Amino acid sequence: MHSTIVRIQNVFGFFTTVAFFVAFFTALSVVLYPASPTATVDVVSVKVIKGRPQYYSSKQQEYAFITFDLDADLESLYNWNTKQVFCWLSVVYGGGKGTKHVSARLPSSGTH
Amino acid sequence: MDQLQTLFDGYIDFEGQKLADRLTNVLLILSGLIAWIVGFVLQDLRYTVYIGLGGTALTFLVVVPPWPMYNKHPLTWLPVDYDDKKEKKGH
Repeated sequence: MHSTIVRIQNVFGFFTTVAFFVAFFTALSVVLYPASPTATVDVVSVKVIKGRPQYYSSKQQEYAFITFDLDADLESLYNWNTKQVFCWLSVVYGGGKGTKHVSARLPSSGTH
Repeated sequence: MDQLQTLFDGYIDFEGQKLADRLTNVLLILSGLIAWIVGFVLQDLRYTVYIGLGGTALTFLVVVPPWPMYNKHPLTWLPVDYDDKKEKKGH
């Protein structure tokens, strides 16, 4: 601690140590707040249309329009250490003969 | 210019160094503790970050500059003994 530079180094070094422990105990305290989110999804209507990706393309594809009701309670996910909540909608549908079930995930992440 | 150099060097005596070391530990641990408690009680990480960083800035201001309170016990050097030097030269 004999010169200014040494004092700066010591203070900063101890600050990083203290910051680490504060962050550690913050993360540990989250255990007291278990998350229990709920969600219900009701499909209202499914429409399958044959169309093209661009007006002049020759490739024809099937397009599905799904209307659904979503009721989700994500309040319990938000504790004091929450920085980002990641949620997604998963669509499972059957194909034609000989194809297996496939699912598409549409993620959306929101920041607190 | 010499005064600026002394200020930049920031030398302090041994008692001052002990005081600076103790102040560093006390202030930083206190600010970390208070930051965590306030954040946990109010369930808002912003309080933790602001109080923690503010306490650290305060610690820097208190400990780093060579304040006069760190120079209250300067070293007393013995006076130079010129007779001794003359005797050694005649070796």
